Amino acid sequence: MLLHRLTDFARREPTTALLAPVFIIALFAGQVLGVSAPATLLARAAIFAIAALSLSFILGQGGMVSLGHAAPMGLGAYVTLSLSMLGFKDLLGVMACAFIVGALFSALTGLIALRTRGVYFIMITLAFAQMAYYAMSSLSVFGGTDGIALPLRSTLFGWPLLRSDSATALLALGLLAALFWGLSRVTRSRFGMALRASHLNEARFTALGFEPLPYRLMAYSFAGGISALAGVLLANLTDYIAPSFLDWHRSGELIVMVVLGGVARPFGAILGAFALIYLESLLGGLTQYWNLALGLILLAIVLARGRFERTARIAP
Amino acid sequence: MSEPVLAIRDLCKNYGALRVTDHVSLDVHEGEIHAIIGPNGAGKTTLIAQIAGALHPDSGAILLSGKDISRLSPAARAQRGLARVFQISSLIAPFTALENVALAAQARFASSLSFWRAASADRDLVTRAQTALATVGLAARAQTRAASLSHGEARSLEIAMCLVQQPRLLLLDEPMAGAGPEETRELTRVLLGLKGKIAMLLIEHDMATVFALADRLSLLVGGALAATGTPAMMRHDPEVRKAYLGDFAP
Repeated sequence: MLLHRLTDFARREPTTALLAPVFIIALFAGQVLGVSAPATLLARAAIFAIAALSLSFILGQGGMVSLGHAAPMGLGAYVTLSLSMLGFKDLLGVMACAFIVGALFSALTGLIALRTRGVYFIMITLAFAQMAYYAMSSLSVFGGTDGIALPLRSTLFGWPLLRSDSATALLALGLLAALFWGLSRVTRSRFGMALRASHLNEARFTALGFEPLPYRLMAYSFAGGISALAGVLLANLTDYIAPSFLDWHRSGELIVMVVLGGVARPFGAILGAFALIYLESLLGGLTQYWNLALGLILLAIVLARGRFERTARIAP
Repeated sequence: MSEPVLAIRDLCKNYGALRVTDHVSLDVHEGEIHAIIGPNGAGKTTLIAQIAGALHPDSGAILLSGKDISRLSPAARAQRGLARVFQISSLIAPFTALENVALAAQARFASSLSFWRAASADRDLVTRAQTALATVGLAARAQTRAASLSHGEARSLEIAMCLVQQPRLLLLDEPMAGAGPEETRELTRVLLGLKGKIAMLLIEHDMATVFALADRLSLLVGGALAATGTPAMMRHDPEVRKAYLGDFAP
């Protein structure tokens, strides 16, 4: 009976079913298996969850599949680096600057990208992100392709809060919770209803008198700003900033996180981010071929969900 | 005489050598229901699409209350008071009936730059939406998802979404299409209730509906206007008979 309930649950919620044991193993047996310290791992997962959540918002609500969402995130890290090099490390100030840079990048690239739809949009977002990647790689002051260490970690009102990874993790979790709550309110607001409608039925949306572009652009820019905030925290966590932060592989990982957790529900992105980060770490500690193992697991999850959704649609 | 709500002047559209709209000129007066009839392939839906802004004519002008809207996007035309009921019901499927109508009201009466307050808490929009739903007889179905509505209810919902915007002109593309006898009676009742209050341009095949509702009829054949007149006149018009019954008309 219990076994039947469990397999049913696993089929309905493959990501959660997988994440629970992985999380527990990583928590208790982590040290033995060579997995990163719990606090570092938690902070990393929460940071990527912030970026993934902002992507899930524009993807799920607005239908904007961006394959360049790592770009504003990386730019946020580079803003942190630049300000740190100039001796400025107040966290709130750094975050404000990073948000503006991330939002501006998304707004300017969005003005062009959002005039396209579907595959063309995906390609253009990828192209812009790659442009940013190469731009950062070419700057020798930032160490070129190798990257550079962060001179000074950000402080909160002078307090070296981010010196410990546990504190960073707590801050990231707090920001994540605030973002989740905020986005759930935006989704139900008049703006949120309009954004969703623009994606669900564009013909009816315009026939009612709405122009789609302003809504998409606002959401897209906001998501870019949020992603940059995640970048600030990531820079503080890794203490090292490299162009790889903006690489299209990172953008792809963010998409995987969103899809893994389930596009339909907002919490999905958080689930997917935690699942991917923890899986990567655990598998990395277990085998040299962790990439292969990860790929197979992702495949299994997606297939399981596909099968469940098919049967769910047939059954009344 | 006051200015017509809609004036189409010498509208032309060709797809290569095919004339889909052939120098069409017609108007719709305040409070008038003007029906367009004609055999399949006559270019009726293409005409509606050009008026709505979804298609661009090759030449000619479209005037809404005297203002040229020929260059405006569909959204801009909607903001000027044009509302459209599509040939196949076009709704926001996962939204409830109330949410659909509230969104329509939002387009006209509220700013969408509201990010915090729940749309469902906006009393003005909700009241307007409820009133519109009551007018089309869908008050009891307000909380039902649009995807779960019956075909006739979906049609009524679309009409409610148009009504709540208090449009100058309502474009209806075959509102009775796919509706059974009961649904047709209900929709006709709703439209009759609006007769004289809103100007309407209506495409319809169902002759009973057309004669019950229309103040004027226009016959479109092969992209061109073959005849115009009151229902009484058109009933006996040889062109109408020829269009529907062929050359074997008595």
